[in-house]
Amino acid sequence: MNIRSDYSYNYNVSMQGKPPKPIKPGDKPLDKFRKKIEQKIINLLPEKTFNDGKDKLDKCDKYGKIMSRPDSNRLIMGIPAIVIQPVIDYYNHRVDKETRVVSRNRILAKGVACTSVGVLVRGTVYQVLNKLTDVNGTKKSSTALLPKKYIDIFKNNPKKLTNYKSALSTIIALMVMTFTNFALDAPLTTYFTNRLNEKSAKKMKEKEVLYG
Amino acid sequence: MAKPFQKCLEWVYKKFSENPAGMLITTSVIGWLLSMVAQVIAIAVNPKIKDEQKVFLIPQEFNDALVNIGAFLLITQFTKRIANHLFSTGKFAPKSVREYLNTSAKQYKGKIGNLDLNLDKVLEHANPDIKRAYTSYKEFGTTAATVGAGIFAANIVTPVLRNKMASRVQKSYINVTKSDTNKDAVKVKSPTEEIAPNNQTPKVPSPQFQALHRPQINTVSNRGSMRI
Repeated sequence: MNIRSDYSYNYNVSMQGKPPKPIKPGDKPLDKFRKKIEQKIINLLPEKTFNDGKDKLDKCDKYGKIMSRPDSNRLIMGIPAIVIQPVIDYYNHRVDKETRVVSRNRILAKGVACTSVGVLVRGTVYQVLNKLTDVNGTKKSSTALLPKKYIDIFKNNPKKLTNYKSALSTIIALMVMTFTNFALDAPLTTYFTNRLNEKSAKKMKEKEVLYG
Repeated sequence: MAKPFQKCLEWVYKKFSENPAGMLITTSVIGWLLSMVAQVIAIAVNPKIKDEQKVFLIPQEFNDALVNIGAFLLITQFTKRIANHLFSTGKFAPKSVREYLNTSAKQYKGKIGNLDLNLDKVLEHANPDIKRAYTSYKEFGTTAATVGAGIFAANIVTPVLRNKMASRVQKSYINVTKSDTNKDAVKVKSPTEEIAPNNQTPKVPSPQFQALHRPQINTVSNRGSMRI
């Protein structure tokens, strides 16, 4: 049996959409409007056929897995935040220069702190969860985080297992984040912000001395 | 100890094994709000940031969470739906799926790209290789579109909007502070003139007041040995 045809590798179920539903007479006005907009956008785009050689499909699976893994997903979202947001804040001419510099430093510090803590937390939760929800594992701890009542259902229905793992990992990550947001993210952000502000203040003083 | 824990795991299975999508959105929103609260507290208690800057940074963080949540629901979720429908309706399809649909052209004529067509059901009993090609491209395409939309929403739309909103708050704070200092300046009266209330003629200072506040003229001191 080709396992790939039966269930998704995609760990992050939140990145997959629901199946399309046609416009029905009994639909609410808002749903009708939404479906009309969706249909119009789909009609605007041309039909496209992709090459489906084995190497192409393997690449799709590989990069899709990387993008949907919680830790690599956090890194992919975090790197543009570190690069783009400080620039937008620095060139926000609605505020004075000092505020812009402090805002830029804070956003940069927040990006670095939150991304590194996020990658660490999500990666750890992902690894631990995978080891403790392995229906085919041989160790006693392999099914520690699976409800014993439904282990046989998971063996025959991989999609339910994926959904269950996704939900459980999100709940555990939220519980851990409640702690790390206050204990790690915020203090690290403050520490990096203050360091960057000190450096910026030094540079500004040097410029004043040089140029008057 | 084991029983309550097993009951929790069973609850997760019953609630979310069919469709966890709604819960995932809710937990993302809760995560953003928690992060916002932590950052706002960190800014407020940081002694090394001036008040004028705190008045910008705190609304900035608050609006960052709100705009992020709005952009996530409007931009990211919408893009995910469109990407999913493009593959599910056969508008974007791998070669093997296109050939499968063309061989059954009569059945699917005019339906490609229409929300009536759901290839998840059509290909349920198809060849495993066709199913694999369809699932691989659909999941990759939907994930890539979701991530791309998320990056655009969180790093372009959100910073621009939150900065605009936070700048307004800082401006109104500065205006209020300036008007307060102006009021205090008006209250200081000059010694030679009093502000007359109700359009009355100004009072002339009393002779004693004038004597006290008369500018001092340096008197000539007796220098030298000249005696008169």
